[in-house]
Amino acid sequence: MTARSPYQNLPPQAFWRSAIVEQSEAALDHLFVPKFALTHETALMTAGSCFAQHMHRALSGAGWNVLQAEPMTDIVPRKLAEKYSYGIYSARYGNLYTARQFRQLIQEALGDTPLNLLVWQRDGRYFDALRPSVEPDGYDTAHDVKRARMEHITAVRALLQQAECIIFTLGLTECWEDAATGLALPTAPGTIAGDYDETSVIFRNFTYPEVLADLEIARDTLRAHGLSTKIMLTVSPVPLTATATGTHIGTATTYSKSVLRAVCGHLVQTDADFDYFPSYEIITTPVVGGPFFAPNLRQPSPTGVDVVIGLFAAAFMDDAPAAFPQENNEVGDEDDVQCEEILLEAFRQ
Amino acid sequence: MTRVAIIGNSHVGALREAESAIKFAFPTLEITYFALARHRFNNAQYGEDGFFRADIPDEAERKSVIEINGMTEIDLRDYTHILVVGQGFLFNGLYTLIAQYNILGLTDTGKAQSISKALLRDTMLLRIRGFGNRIARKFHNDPRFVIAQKPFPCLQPDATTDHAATAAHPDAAQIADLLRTTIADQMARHPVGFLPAPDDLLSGPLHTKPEFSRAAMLPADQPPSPSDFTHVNARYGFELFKIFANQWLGLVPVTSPQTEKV
Repeated sequence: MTARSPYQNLPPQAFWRSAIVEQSEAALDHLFVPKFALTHETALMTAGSCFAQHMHRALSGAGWNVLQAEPMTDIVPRKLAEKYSYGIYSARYGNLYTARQFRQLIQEALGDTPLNLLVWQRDGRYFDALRPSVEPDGYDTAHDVKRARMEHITAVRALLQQAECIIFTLGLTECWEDAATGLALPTAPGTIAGDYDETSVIFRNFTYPEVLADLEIARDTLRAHGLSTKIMLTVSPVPLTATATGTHIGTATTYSKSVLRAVCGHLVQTDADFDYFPSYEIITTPVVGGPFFAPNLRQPSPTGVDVVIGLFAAAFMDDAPAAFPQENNEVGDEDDVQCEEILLEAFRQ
Repeated sequence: MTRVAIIGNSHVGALREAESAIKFAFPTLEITYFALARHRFNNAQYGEDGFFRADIPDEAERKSVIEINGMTEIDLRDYTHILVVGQGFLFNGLYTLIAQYNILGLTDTGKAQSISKALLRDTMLLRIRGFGNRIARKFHNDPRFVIAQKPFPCLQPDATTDHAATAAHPDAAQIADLLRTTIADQMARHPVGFLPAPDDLLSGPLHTKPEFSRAAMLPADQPPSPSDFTHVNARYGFELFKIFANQWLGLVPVTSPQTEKV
């Protein structure tokens, strides 16, 4: 009598050899099986960590209905508009690295009471501490910061009311909080603007329960305002540039990505409102012929981004472009993404 | 005789109409006029052989160019100076930007979306610098060329253009200052000369005085078209040339323009 095993009749995608080594197409089809349908007409909102800029650009370029709540006329050259954070996401919120920032933005946009305005200064210029990179040289006055933030939040509210699906890319668990307000900051004071004072900010490295709670609260906030928006999560494959935990950057990166990925896994299994697209696995592992990193071993290569978008489209479209790597000149200069983390490296020099 | 060429787009017309006054006021100059439609002028090339020429495949258009200029190309080798008129420096796009958005730091104009003054300044810089680089290159950075800024439109009743909206901005003077300094700074980087729209001929920050419009010269029974407000007349042409002649040739008119009908 032949011994029976629970692995005996599993499909090709369940085995490393057939799925990865042999790159079986049947297995590839199962890399991402969407929980909810998206079409080119579905109103998408993009947000998240640096990698989300690639998603935004590629999906917009491929004809998906990516919303733009703060549009910029093409009189302003694209590179300049992007320098001012126009067109890199669905609105000018800059990079939302953490689930806490995502929750905070949704609560502010849909809430009745505006958040306390946090203004940083540098060289006599004024910056919105919750998105300091959107005005590279800051504003003339704190009043301008306030006015710009009010317009931004109004635009985000309209965006949330219109979006049918938010594609949110989680990037980090590490975060600096303003001690007085508890607000999560995208970057430590002193990086782009403001001054670092250890009594004014608190370093946080969010745990699994905290990240999970932030995403659930974000979703609950949407529901409380009658919005049935779905949330497609991804995890940025871009490693941390620096860690403030006191540990090695390698282990700090693994912690961050593990927590984020585990939260995604839990939500996909237990919550109908969330899905997860495996851009992290596509870029960082050999599941689709990768890993796909640029020579700096940090940013994804253009080929990798193409594969991510190709597989995303393939999962939803019958006539999607091929997902496998195509010829690519690997020149990323035109499509550089904006990432405050890069500044950390500059500060290290 | 000093030979001067005046080349450009439809704005050459104002100087051409002032031809007799210019000739009278500057008798030591021999002046040639050469005008092409704006799109043809923009695509025309200044060749290594010293000729400025446009590719005009359409026969009817060629005939029209010959009718206007007596030629389809101009040999610029023997001219002391070449005044290139009617250059817009991509201002129209800037007017559109200002008309569409509120500018933070300037008076609120009630638009739904604001942009920062820094973005306006950077856009201005990028567009004007790009235009300046291109036109300097187009004329091989040859210092004989003097690039004259297109005149600002004259006030047109009930105009709804982006220029009109910009000129009506409560802080139009500040915007005009920014344009003026940006264009001057950028053109100072090139060996070619630059002649801005003269301040004395303006009625306000971004408007040429109404008496210099083509509309002002029309017979009473002829209703003006919008281009009669964006184009200037012979009086403006004479005044512009006078400034050019003084700054680049060291000449003053031998007679007042008032004594010579233009």
